[in-house]
Amino acid sequence: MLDEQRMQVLLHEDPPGGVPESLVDLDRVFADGRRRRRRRHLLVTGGAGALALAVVAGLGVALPSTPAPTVRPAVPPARVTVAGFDPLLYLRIAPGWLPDGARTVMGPQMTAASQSVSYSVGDGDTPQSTDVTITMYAPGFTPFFLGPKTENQLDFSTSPTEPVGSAPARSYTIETHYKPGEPHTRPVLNGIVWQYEPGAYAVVGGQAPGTVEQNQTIWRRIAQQVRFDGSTPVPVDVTVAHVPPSLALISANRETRPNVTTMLVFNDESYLSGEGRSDGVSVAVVPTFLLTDNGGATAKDGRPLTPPEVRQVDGHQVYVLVTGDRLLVAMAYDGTHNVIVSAQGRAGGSVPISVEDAIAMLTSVRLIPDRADWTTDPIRD
Amino acid sequence: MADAIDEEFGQFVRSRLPGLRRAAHLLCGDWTRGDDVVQRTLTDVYVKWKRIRQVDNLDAYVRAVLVHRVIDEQRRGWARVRLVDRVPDVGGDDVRLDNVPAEVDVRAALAELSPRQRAVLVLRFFYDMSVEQTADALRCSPGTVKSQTSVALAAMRRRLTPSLTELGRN
Repeated sequence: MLDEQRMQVLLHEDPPGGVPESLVDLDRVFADGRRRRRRRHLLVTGGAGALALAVVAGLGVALPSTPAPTVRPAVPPARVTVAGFDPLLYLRIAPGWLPDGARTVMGPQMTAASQSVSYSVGDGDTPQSTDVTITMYAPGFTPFFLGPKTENQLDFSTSPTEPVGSAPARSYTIETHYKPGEPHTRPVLNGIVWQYEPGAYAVVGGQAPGTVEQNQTIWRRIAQQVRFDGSTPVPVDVTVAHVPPSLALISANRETRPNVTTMLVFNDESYLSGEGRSDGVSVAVVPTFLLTDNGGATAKDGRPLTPPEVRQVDGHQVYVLVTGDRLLVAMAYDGTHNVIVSAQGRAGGSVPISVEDAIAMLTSVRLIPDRADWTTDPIRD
Repeated sequence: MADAIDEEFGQFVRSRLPGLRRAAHLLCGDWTRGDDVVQRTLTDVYVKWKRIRQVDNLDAYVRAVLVHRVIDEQRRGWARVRLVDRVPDVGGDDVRLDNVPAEVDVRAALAELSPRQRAVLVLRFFYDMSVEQTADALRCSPGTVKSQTSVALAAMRRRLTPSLTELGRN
């Protein structure tokens, strides 16, 4: 008879075949963990710039879910078109002063509504480190903490502060997010926001040693010297030849570290000013190590999940999965990269593109292996 | 300071890794996937290490992260497919040792349970956690833990009792 005591014995018995050597890599834990901490800072401080911080976990490409800008522009930016790439692929932020030892911690986060660049002094997310993000919003877009707080948004507060140059400015603090049951600490993210031109906001903020007041001295010095007339190309290593006419390129990002993701995000113009939108279409290139074998997965209730359909397209195996308001197609591009097109409809809505369009997008993706050939014109043959 | 905190985390990992791997193996059914889940779990924990290292029951927190990692990833299911550009070769079955009756493979029996039922059994009978602690880790009620335990044990009993009886005779 199998009782609880017998169950304990069985679970503690050595497994047949013994225990194999561990594949757990502590160095990678450190590296991945530090990168995630920095991403989290950028996600909080970068406003719409965080659009491109979607997490790619295996085939489960999460579409962007971000603090959306709070103000709809009177005239949608003309650059929100498939053919327009500025400011998506040209970095306009040009810092004039940064703390000693500051280095870029990840590639600029570029969207049609804003762009952000992050720097760190020290090891990141430690009491001794300074992490700062500079964000530039397109005219008409507003940082979320200047608007009313909405459900699921981080707690924040702002107060008037000395102008930056002649521009009115406010300081802000953001309550960082913790899950229930975790210890809670004081808000550490703070910064300064001002208008670099009428109706166009800029933000400098993050965390640094010392008090919020001491932090503000650093942010102010950065803010006073940053310029927004740069034109540094930020090319990507992917092109997509097929894009349905209803979609515009709204975000293009490639991190600077090896073995990380390139992601292009598409949607219609309304996306950029939508509140809490998580719909859209993304094209992602991911390293193959993110994907592992199917382990006989089951749903919460124990039923087997629907396996992806496999189609043969131009000699390639294309994996297709449609679940409710989501569509995902994927294929192996080469021995080291997979390409994934993921689409999600608006809440209660349908998938924004057809399976055929998704497959056409997928098979039209080309990677550019040579860095010298990377492009600021990714929607092309 | 950062180095000291990292060293502290490294020591924590080294002391807990064997147990976490065993638990993940029971939860996932194979070592490779188990190690993958442990890797992700430890990364989750490291991201928050500064804040959580002082909590009263750190081990319980890490176990909860582990089981939720397993449940979440198995719920996604289709996200765990290796993409190939050709039809893959069919792999061979796992090699079983001759002196271990296949019928008493507790891992095979566990694999037939739902992820949450597996998690309940591992937390309660591998980690010796109480009903209340298990409920806290799984963010459900103690009653749910009790019912899941009962159902899971019944399923395991059906699967294993004949062979256990056979072993007893031998």
